[in-house]
Amino acid sequence: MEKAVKKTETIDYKNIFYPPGGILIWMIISVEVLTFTIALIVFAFQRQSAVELFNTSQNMLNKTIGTINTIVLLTSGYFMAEALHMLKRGKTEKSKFLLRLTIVFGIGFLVLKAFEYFQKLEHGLSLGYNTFFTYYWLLTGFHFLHVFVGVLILSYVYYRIKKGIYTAHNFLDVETSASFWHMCDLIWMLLFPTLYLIH
Amino acid sequence: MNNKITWIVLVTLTLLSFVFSESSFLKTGLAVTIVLLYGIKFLGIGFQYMELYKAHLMWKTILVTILIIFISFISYAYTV
Repeated sequence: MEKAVKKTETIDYKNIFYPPGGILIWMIISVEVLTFTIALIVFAFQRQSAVELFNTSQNMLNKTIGTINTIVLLTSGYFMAEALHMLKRGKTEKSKFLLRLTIVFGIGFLVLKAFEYFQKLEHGLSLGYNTFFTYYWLLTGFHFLHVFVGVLILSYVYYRIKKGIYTAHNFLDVETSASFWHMCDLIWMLLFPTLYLIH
Repeated sequence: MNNKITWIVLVTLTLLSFVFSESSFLKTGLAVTIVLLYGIKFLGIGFQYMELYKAHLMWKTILVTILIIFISFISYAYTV
């Protein structure tokens, strides 16, 4: 515990090996964001061979729900950033409250997305319906899994803060979890406009 | 305070993108405009929420490079 306290207090973020959240999570973030980027570029070029099909399929998506979900996820990200900020300042109670809000909004995103998935399945728009929907299900499905795992991680972080394990002097794991959570935002910032908005 | 300002900007850009995608006055260049707006949001999350502004230049370069690749290829694919 003593060692962990000392370590957290002396982090030099400007050091190439110690970005905020740690080098491992940033390696994961870089690879994940690049993977989604490549998949979306392939999607965009494949669209060129069937523009009509892709545009018609895109019109079957609910932009309003997608936009609301974007705001829900961004709000959750804001609460996460504030929760970490409060924890670092020693305001544990406020941090816990903000983390609860982060988790609630994260679950809100999952519920809305599940509702959207249910609507699609009801209309027979499943994975094999056409090429557009194959991309839609795979890309948003992987993102959904990331958010789901993120909610589990944040719930565990909340439990550890409640137990007094993570404090203003020992917040590295919280910072890493926050980076993972924000990565879900980053990926959505690439997915949402490409799949739902641009044509 | 900075996080709150970032959140307001992010939500405003989200709503603006939605309006652009629904309207017809921005027929040409719609894809590029929306992708650029989301690029700004991507940077806002990375630099403010993830505190990348504190990090070593290499990590900033990696994230910005991925974003440039995304914007360039998507804009090209939707304009040719």
